[in-house]
Amino acid sequence: MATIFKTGIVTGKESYAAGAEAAHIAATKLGKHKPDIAVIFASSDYNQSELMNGIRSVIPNVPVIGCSAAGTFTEDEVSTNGVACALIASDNCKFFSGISKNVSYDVIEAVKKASENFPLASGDYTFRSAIVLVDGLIGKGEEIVLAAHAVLGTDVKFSGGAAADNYEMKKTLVFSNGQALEDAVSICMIHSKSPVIISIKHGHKPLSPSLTVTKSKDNIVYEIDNQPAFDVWKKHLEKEMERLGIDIKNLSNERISEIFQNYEAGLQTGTDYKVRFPTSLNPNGAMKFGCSMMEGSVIKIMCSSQEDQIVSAKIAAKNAIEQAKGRKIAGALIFDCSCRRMILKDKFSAAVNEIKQVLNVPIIGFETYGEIAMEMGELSGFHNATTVIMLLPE
Amino acid sequence: MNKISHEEFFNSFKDSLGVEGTNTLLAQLLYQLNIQKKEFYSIEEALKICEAMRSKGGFISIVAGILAARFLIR
Repeated sequence: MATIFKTGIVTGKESYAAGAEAAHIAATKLGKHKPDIAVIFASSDYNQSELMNGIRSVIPNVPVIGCSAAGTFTEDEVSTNGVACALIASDNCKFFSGISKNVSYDVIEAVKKASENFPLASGDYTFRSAIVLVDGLIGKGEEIVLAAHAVLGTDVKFSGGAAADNYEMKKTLVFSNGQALEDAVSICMIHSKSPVIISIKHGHKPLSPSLTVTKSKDNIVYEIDNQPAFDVWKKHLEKEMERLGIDIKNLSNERISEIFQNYEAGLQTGTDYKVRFPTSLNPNGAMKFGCSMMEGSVIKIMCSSQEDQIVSAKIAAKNAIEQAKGRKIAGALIFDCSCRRMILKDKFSAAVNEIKQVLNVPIIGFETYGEIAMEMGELSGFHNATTVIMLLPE
Repeated sequence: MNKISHEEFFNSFKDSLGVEGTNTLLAQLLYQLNIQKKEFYSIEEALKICEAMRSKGGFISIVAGILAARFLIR
């Protein structure tokens, strides 16, 4: 049997029916094989408990992991208000899932609790990797992946993402085994006979000169170059707004905040940049990011064209295939920043199509509020405005 | 005797804090500990740096814990 990866996607419909139908489509494609794990990415418009019940009505004893999303997709469809389901059956991989709350209180303890029933080893399934899904609004992205690294071990590769809620920025949920929780982490540990493949790529380039974060706490930046952070963003984006014909003087702060989410912060890490996504503007003019921003950090305001976004998605897929070195792939999980849809708008499906054409295997993905990718030995695994692809070998 | 390079500290944070953020963090910690910046630190100095990092909280504290464990095992 090796590994078989099949997907279903449903747009709209009532929550229970949508969950049941997405699971039914994937289960029908899987045929006689019994799924070992179900991966669910769902619009936050659904009642998540009812959605879970619908899924479990079709696959009652199958472990489920997943989260709410800002859009979902499979190889068949791209949806802004749907539910995507992947069912995986494998005799080359073993899957172990767990969930825990109170991540914002104690991130290490939350990871320990979520993983307390994971075995350390599974015989000749010698490669270990983990899919980590976390509440996207608590600003603990970098912490969660490092905590997972500290708790699960140095030989584990990580992929995953921060749950989203259709850009409402109010409530994001992660799922595991019938529960849908806020302020939580859902972890799926994979023990496999061959390693999973993880590829990442962003499509942003710098627009502003270097700017120094002069006042910040956790994931909130109050001042840049000793001025209110938002004023600095506005000043450096004036010309760009003029170019786009946008008169920001006549717009509300809320509308400006929405527009400015297309312009991320870039931390120079050598020859490349680590992109950080401003999730919202606070009333005092401070900017909230998806993870911690340290005082003294030097950033540049980043931008990306629609073409850059489509090309970077394709490069991520090509890099993943290159890493596979001819090994057969069962399917791919894709964690793609929600800002890609904001930039691409109705062209978003073009980026998914590029990935689909290069990979040529079943895919499931969602638009995140942050992406997780960390290879063994690395000590930073949280990304924004990036495409993360995890290939599951056959 | 094992020595821990400044570069190892730098490389451990440059992807999360950026180049300048990492340099700022390390400069602050060394100043606070009254340790001069050098190419290599003794294990004792390196562990003191990790301990000071832990007080910063957040992901810096988690990385500090991982680094301290690595240094002790080494």
